[in-house]
Amino acid sequence: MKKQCIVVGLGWFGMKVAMELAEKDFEVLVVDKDMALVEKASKFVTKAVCLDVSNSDAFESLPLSDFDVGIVAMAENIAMSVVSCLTLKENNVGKIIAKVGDKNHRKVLEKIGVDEIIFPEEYLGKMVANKMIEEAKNME
Amino acid sequence: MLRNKKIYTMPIIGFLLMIIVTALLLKLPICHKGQLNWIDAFFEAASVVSATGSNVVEVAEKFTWVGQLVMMVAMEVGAVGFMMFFSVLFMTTKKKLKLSDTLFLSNEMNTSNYPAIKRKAKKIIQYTLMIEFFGAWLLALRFVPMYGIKEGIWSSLFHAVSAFCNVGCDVFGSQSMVLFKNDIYVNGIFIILMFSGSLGFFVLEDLTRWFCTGKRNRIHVETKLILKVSVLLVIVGSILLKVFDKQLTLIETIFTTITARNTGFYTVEMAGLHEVSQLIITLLMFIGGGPGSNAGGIRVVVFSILILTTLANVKGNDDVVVFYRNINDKMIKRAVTILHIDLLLVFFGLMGLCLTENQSVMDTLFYVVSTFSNTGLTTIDIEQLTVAGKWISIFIMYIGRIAPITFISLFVPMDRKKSGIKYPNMDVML
Repeated sequence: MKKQCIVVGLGWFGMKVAMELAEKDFEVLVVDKDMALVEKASKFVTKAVCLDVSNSDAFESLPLSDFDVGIVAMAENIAMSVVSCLTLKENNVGKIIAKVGDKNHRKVLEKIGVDEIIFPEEYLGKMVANKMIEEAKNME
Repeated sequence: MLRNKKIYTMPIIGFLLMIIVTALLLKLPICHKGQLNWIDAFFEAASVVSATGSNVVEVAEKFTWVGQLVMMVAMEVGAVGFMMFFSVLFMTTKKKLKLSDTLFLSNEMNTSNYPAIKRKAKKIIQYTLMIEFFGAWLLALRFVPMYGIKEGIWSSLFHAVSAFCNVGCDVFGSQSMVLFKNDIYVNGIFIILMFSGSLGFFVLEDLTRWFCTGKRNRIHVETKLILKVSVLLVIVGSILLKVFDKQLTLIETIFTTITARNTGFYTVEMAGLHEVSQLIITLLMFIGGGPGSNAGGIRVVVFSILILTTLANVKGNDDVVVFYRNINDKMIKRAVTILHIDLLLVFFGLMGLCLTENQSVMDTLFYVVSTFSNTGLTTIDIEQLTVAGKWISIFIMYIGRIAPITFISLFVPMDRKKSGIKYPNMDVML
């Protein structure tokens, strides 16, 4: 059976994740409250819906428990990101991956029990530093 | 607009009860002479309550004075009740724009806004009685010398009510108003009563305000639209009728056009008209009168919205504009829904009556549209209808009266809870 993913938030990150997964034949459901982004994503994903995640009735009317992976890509809005992660967790989504924007955000999501937390700045910072160290080593 | 279902059960049950009560009253020995079948009693009751006015028995001969009084009261109660219901509905839906949704739902329309509704109801009764009384008085000037005092006054009252409520039931005998076809005075009064009745209370109220205060800018856009389209329909209809039936006099042409807008008196026999004229009359009946008036049909506003939308689409405009106002998409969807349901009803009615009756499709179509729109004009002798045909007619009259959309909403569960989910738009192939 195809893996089923839900992507919450359609920024550059979310859009890219959804696009790549859809291309590799994952079943992808995307959620955002901006209709323009939803329409853009609807051209390549399985299903695209426009809703506000703070409206829990609407969010939970989606078959959330059927999803294997949930990706929460709303680093800039901590409140909404937390709400989404909580809702996905409560509805037994197999694995939750979330992107965070700062340390506090990460702490909260860790407490909630998000399986994988991506902190792009930290990750990239480390990567760039490591690259420079590698280069310096090679120079010697 | 169809959110609050409780309001809608009111006319559905109200009209049904009224038909049954009227039928039972008409069945009383004091109301009729000789034998009256149950089916005929029900047909006559449905006919007067629904403002259709088609008769399967001769009203003047079959019913006693008491029976005719019962019919007149039924017409009046049906008409006033309908106008009141519509006004209340209009008031509550207007209010919905201001207050929150939940407040509207909990407000069972007779609690917080009670005084305003009461005032409105009083106004409707006043207007109706005043216009009818005035009409009756003018008619009496002609009828009293003709029929004698008692008969003349009675006839004036009955016909004033029948004309203003757009019923079209008469006590002149088998030939409706053919007797008066050259009488400009009587024709004129009938035309004014029928036309003002077909505008609806909302328009009448607006017009009176204009005449009383002289403030033209306070007229609602709906009023302008209804007036303009109604007058246009009458003018265009008259011209077309005159073109296809040259034998008609001017007054006959205008009377026929006005009566086709859902009253049902006639000064010329419909069967004698050219088939094209019959089709034009069918269309006029289908379009009907103003919203909230006792003239049935899909209503003038729905018709105008459909025409305007068509024009806008053909021209490539996204907005449907009338009198410098953009028509809400919701209203356009509603207009399409009304047209669709009404067309389906006419189509199924046509199929049903084609099965039970042995008439041509043209005649049956004319009769079905006339019954659905509560007009009561016919090209066939409906006293010859089969029993099944009569029941179908009663059903169509009743549904046509309470508006098919109301009736259907009773059986379809509403999506009361807004899901909060919106799906991406899609352009489909048409």
